[in-house]
Amino acid sequence: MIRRSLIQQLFADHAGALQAFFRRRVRERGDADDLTQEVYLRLLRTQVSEILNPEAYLFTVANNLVKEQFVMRRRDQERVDLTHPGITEALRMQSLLADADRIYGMELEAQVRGLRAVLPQLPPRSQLVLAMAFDGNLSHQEIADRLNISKTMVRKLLVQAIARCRKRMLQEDV
Amino acid sequence: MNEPDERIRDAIIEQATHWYLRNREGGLTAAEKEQFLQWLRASLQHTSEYLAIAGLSGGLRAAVANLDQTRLLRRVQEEGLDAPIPIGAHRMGRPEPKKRKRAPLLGLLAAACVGACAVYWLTLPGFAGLPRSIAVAHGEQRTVQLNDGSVVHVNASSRLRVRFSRSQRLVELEQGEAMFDVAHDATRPFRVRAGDTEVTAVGTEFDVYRRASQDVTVTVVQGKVDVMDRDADHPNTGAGTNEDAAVPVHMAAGQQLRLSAARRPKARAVDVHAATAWIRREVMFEGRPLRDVAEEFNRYIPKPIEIDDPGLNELQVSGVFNAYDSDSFLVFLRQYDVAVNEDARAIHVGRPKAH
Repeated sequence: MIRRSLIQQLFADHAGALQAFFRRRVRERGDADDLTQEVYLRLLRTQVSEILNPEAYLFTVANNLVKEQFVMRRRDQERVDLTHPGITEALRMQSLLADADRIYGMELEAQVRGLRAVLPQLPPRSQLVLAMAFDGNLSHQEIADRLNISKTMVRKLLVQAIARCRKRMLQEDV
Repeated sequence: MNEPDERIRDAIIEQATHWYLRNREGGLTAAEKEQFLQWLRASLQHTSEYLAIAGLSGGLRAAVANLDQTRLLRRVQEEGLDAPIPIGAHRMGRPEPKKRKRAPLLGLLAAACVGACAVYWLTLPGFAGLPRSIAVAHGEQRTVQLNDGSVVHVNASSRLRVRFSRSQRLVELEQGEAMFDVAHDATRPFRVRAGDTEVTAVGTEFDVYRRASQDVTVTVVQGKVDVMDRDADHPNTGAGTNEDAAVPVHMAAGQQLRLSAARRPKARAVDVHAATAWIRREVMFEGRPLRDVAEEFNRYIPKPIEIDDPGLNELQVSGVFNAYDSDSFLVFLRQYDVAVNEDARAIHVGRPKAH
């Protein structure tokens, strides 16, 4: 689903802005690499005992950094002082999200095009398992039941399939 | 990139994917969380690759939506890799009428019994004339392949009866919602009856939703259908008895028709993706009143959402949610000026108390 507002996407899996950001890295390597590095450094600086859910923590840190980066970018482009009291926080967030939304939409479409080219090269079984997991939102157990294979096999097929997609996408970017 | 580097990179991609899937499954033990955190902290490449895999998921979801699961399933079966499973193809394809074989039938029955859900097979499929009932309990969904190759996706809290004969394929929707992916058979029209509404298709894909209020909504995904508002006194003829009621409405792909007792039906354009979101276990709302949204959620979740303040009924809500995850919806609701409280029986939505 391509048309989904960023806020809904963030809400759904915390990864909306993140996705836009990590596709951007292809073109703006330096920029995004700095961001990744910053995410990583914050991860190292935080006490392990404070991190209850590592994935949620990672996404939150990355999302916040992406938002900060949007703010800075806008400031550069428009020479607007965002700390000026005349511009309310709400307006700032609104234009920020509209921007992120637009970029996210474009980036996602490009990614979907890339993936659609890669998918047919995967074995039918991998395609089927991917579709069941990502389109049908089925759990690994449900897929295992429907295909009459073990849950371990489902996991293995999914790891292989996603990893292959990622490798292909990397190769095509180079 | 030289070879050892590439091997290391590939290994990191696979580890990242493993952890990503593990997190999607949820329920990580404390030990697993620690292990995952250690893995992330072990190297910048790990963290970076993890975020990249997470970033791939939105695109994957959109890209796989194009795959024809029914066809893939058939290919997998043909290649003899695994046991056949005629039901459970979650996305519509266009299955050709199958030659009757024993194994798929057994698979069908087995799959129907797996998943502790209420699909009751009153009779075996395949005997023309004998009706067969399909009932799906609250909070469940089922996909069933009929013996002509058509696939029916049955939504929660729904009940239907299937009666196939030599001259027609008749499905009676007694309650709830189902989506039909109809196998082509020019000699036997495929008809769905929901109360006085009758939908006729030759080879197409459409959704029929019969609400508790007896209003019926028909959505066409592919192909064309005719919708007839039948005279209730002549349940078997369909056409020609009552001049007024017997005019069929022609509907094309992308159109939706809502029939209520009060109004004459007229087809209008609709977002098919949103209307059939339940297939993907999503519920989607675009400026819909909160009352409808709550009713929709209550089809899937065990504890009903109740709106205590009638003033909130008309609150306009837009969003996409997992149908089985009312929590995400409640978090979303809290953005509005409402109070959400849960007790043992229901989830109450009301006005916040004045401070």
